Amino acid sequence: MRKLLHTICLLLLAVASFAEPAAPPAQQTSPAVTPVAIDARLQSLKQDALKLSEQLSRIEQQLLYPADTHINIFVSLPAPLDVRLESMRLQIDGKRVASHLYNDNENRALQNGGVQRIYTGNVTPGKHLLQFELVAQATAGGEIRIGDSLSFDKGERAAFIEVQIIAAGDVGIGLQFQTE
Amino acid sequence: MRQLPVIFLLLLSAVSFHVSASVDLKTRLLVGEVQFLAQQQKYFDALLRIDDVQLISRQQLQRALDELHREYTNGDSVRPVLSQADIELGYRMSQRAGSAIRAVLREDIPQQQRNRAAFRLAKIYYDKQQYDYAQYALQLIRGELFYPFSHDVKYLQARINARSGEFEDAISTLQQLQYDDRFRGFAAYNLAHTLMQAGQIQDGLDKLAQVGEMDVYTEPLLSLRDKANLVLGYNALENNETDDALLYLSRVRLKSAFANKALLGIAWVNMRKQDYQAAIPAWTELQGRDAGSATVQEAWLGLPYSYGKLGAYGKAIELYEFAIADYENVLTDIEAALDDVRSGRFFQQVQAQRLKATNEGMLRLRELEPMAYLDELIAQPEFQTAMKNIIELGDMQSHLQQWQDTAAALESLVALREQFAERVADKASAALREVDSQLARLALQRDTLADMIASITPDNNLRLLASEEEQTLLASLQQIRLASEAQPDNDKLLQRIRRASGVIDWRLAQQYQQRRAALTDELNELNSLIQVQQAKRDRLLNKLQRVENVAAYKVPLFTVKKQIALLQAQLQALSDEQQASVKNLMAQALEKRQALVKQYLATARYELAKNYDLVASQQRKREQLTDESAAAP
Repeated sequence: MRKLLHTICLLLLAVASFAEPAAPPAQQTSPAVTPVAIDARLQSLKQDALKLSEQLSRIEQQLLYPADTHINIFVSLPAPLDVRLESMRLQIDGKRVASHLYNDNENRALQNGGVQRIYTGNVTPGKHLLQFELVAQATAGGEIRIGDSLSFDKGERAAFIEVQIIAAGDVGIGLQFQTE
Repeated sequence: MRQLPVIFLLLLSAVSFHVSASVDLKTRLLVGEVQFLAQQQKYFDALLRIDDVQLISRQQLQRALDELHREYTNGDSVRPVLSQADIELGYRMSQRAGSAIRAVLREDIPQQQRNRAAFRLAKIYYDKQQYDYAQYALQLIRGELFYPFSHDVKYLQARINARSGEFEDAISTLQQLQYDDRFRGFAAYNLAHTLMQAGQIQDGLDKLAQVGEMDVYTEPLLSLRDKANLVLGYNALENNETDDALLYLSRVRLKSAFANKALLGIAWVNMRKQDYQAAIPAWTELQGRDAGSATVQEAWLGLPYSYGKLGAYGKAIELYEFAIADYENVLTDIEAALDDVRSGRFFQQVQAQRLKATNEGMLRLRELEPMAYLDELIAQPEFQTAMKNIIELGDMQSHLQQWQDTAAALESLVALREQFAERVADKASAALREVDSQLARLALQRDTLADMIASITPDNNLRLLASEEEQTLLASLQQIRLASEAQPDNDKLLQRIRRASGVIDWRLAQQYQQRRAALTDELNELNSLIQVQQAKRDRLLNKLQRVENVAAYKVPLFTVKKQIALLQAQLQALSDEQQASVKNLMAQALEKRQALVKQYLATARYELAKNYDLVASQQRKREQLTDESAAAP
């Protein structure tokens, strides 16, 4: 039993050494197959993958989203709000083009200043109407439903529109649009 | 490797994310999108989006960063902002993050930013256990450092010293830092460990005892306190200081990652003291816990053993019977787990669970069936790295499959567009001709009108301002004048004609400004029409260009598809290699546990038989005593 206890003690000291991960013990694997060696090779493949994705995205963008029809719509919270976003719906010229149910991670990322791309697509050059509807849950309780619309003119360059959710009015939140 | 934008890397410190309106909207949205993805630990997607950010001009991005820094220094609410290096590290691309930071260090940047970059580089090397490089990176930090950064540097320096065997330096720094609230507990714990490594065992234990008595409330510190008490408890047990061992081990919380080992320790301390009664609560608490844990499986034997020692053979028999059934179930489970691992089904489960290659993902990995018996293996950093590799390899394979599908769809699209290209080109060309003729007509109208407006002054060509009706009237008056000139006694008539013409001329002179402005409006309107037609012309030209360019996508698409296929093959080979290695490790660990449980099972069966014998022997003794007392006169 003493031998067992000694082993446990050594094991504990090894595990409990530093607040940071301790140096990994040698495994019964050949050097080329060690996870660290594979990780290094994987990192190099990740580089290749990112490069490939970049090439493919460029072709895709040029083929599917020419600048004169390309539109990007984003949602953001310019400042943290006491709400939890539940869902949103986006229409362009009366046709639904995007809808989304928010999870906790997305809510956290938005509250932390992240900006969510909710739609990438094409519209003909000229005037259009964007309608945005949002359902949220107030932290203090109670459902909030708000909506607003924006008339915009699609020009020759790719359009970037931001739907900002801001603190406003009796219901606690409001919408405002930013366009480029 | 492509050059990473230095300016993006300057976001190395956490800064507020309120970017004012002066920053280009597109920049703000794209940087914000990278943050949105990275904060959800979608590092790969975030890195893909960084490519979009890199397309933004350096000047724009610099302005965005200036805004961020200004807001940060003004003390606005701080929202976490992840740098490109953070995201690359999140995606476990330390090589690229390291290269990027080294690139920053080569740039001409302020010393303060250089220091932060060097610190990040040192941390990367430290995490990769390249302590010499980490030390070198720290040496690049120069000038006066301010708190808290100065302490962050010292803490990292101490850890590097400890890992490099420079214990005295590490001890001296950790002694200073142990009273800094930001390192509360951790600096003291590391100090205790370093003291023991340096051979100052008693000093180390004393320091550890301080950590074990910390008055703390947060989970990381409570967990650290538990860990300290566990180490102290087992150390005391090894030195046969049973009372101390019980004191330390009983401080470990029952709901903690170290609770099972602490309970096992308490049970064994009491067994060593031969106080079997006192061992029972710890064994009982343990035996109801997670059946996959090795300590719990040990308790299934320990509890009946203690009852047996107390002479409660009936209870011991009952518990041994339960233990045998439990061990048999565990052996069946282990056999199934081995089957899952050997057949590769385990790796399919991992992919199906959509686990992430993060510490959170590793916690979720523990919930999978075979992992129940592999708690020690999963705690090993190298095994975790291997599992993260497998998860990422699987993710990348599904990404590549998607890209392959996308590339194929784009190829079909190009083929389809090629078929229609001629028709589209004909239509567009016809429309372009129509627009060109419209433009020519409008331009002629515009030029004529412009010339006309230029020729009109209050003294000249006023009649060009006349309306259509007025022009008709003037023309009629002219005709009448010409006709009447040949007639006698026409003075009166000519006078009337002059008067009528004079009225119109007077009106034109009076309304000169107004009428000239109306003509200018007309000219502007013509210019607008020309602009509309010009825009239409540009669109048509774009369309024609795109039609002509469709064929140009064929070669790049083919090349991308080929490269994806090549990468898929490389990933598959690497994945096979990593899976074989992990399969081997898991199978070995499961077989080891299987052997242990079989040994426990054999012991339980033996002890069960022994207890039955003891009961029988007791029974025989009792019967013998009864017979003897009956036979007594």
